[in-house]
Amino acid sequence: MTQATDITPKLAEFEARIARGEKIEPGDWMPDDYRKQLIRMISQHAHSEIVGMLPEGNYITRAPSLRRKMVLIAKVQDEGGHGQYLYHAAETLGISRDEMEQALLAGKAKYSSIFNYPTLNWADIGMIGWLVDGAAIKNQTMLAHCSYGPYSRAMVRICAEETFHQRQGKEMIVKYAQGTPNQRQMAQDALNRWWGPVLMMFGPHDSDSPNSEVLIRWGVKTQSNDTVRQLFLDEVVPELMAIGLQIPDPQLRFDAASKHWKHGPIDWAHFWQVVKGNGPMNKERLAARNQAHNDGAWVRDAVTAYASRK
Amino acid sequence: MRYEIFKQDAPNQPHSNVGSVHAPDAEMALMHARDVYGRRPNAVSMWAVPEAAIYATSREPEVLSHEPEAVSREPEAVSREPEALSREPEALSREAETQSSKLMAQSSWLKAHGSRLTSYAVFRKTSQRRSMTYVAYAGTVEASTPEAAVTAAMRKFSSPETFVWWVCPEAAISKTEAEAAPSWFEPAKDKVYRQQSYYGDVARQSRRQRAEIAGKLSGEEAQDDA
Repeated sequence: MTQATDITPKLAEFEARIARGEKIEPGDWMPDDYRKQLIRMISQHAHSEIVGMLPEGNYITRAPSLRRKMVLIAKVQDEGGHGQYLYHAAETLGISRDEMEQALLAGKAKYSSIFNYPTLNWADIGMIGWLVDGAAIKNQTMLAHCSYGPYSRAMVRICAEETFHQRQGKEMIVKYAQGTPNQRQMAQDALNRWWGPVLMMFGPHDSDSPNSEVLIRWGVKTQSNDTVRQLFLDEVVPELMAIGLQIPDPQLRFDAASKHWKHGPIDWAHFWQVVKGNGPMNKERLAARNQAHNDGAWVRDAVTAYASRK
Repeated sequence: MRYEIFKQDAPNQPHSNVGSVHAPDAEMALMHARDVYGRRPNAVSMWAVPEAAIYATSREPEVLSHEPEAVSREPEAVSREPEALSREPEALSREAETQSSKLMAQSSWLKAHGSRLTSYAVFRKTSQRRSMTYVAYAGTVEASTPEAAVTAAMRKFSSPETFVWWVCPEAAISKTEAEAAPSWFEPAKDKVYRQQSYYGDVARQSRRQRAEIAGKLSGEEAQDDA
């Protein structure tokens, strides 16, 4: 963060525009760090949408009913579309979709670590919808206020579409929680495995998040990691308790003074291991993404050939 | 090639920019656009415009004015090109390089398509409100260059606040056909499970559940106090 102390007239005007609540648009002057941070965040976000299709796409052929199958197909299609909205937003900053795609395929790009965990059975599909999409929506609702116009617009559209992802997941888990002992056990088992990784989705604690301060000053993020994590916790903890599931955190408690739910310690050493590529599914996800890309090569060749012959 | 996509939500609404797609030609750009931007039932028509055919002006609001004199005082207000070129070479960021190569692509496209008096489509952004769309179609102007089209657009479509202008030759717009529109866009109407309202019970249930636990907690608190 080099420019934060170097107040040029352009930087001052840029910060004044953000303070007035204006959107920065493609072609407007912006500090290099603003551009770099946005490219980093938006491209990682785009990759997360694309890789996020894999754990659920796996289950389309195994959906337990036609209704569930249609819903899941619609959700996975949305994730693909959301990836495209975000690649578009990043492209307005001077990077190409090809460059971003190549970085992802080569394993050089980061994406949300939540997609490096396996989906073991159908209850995981419900838990991902409810908690993973629920957490993503909290983060994306915050990012819809972003000062960069193209990112904000992509977030507004994504939030509007994604609400159904969270609700269809919750609908499934509530049914399981009210179902047979075996179904209840499946819901509990899914919660046991997903709870920790979901809390990590909001990123490191504010005290360990070096980029946060300038990102908030420039209106890229409008709330800190811990603030958004708290919003999520206060929403889902009572809902999970009400359907009789046990949240796998012995230190979870309601703090009467602040009226907030407080979680126990998060295993950040594990988090960083997954970020570095050592999670349970990192290699499989990268291989599956590469295979999907290579399997689609003939389609790209065909459309290019068709267009060139006209 | 990159195409900018404009979607019309209802017959009396303007086409608004929703984002872009990559496609080798305009026909496939529209097909991708339906998949990427038309999965929900609010679409009746889409336009695709090659990125190189669009002349965009991004304007700092403090130099915003409807007086042509103000525009000539502040060339930066009309085009982003002078700003990019006046920077020191070492300060030329990757963005500026991208922008100037884009501008070269634009001017060669425009040269190839003639500089006679042409009908330009005008799009503009008139609000800072949060939105899922960017510039919206305002109408057309006749001009011989894109710069002249922007100046003409400022006169013809003056509004209290305009933050961004886009112009492109009308001939550069590829449109979905009216007869084909129902088969393109209406299937989305039947896919009600894509709508959050389809899961209304879940939202009501969530509110009940949170209230139930809050009730229990305040009950415990009352006991603690006692």
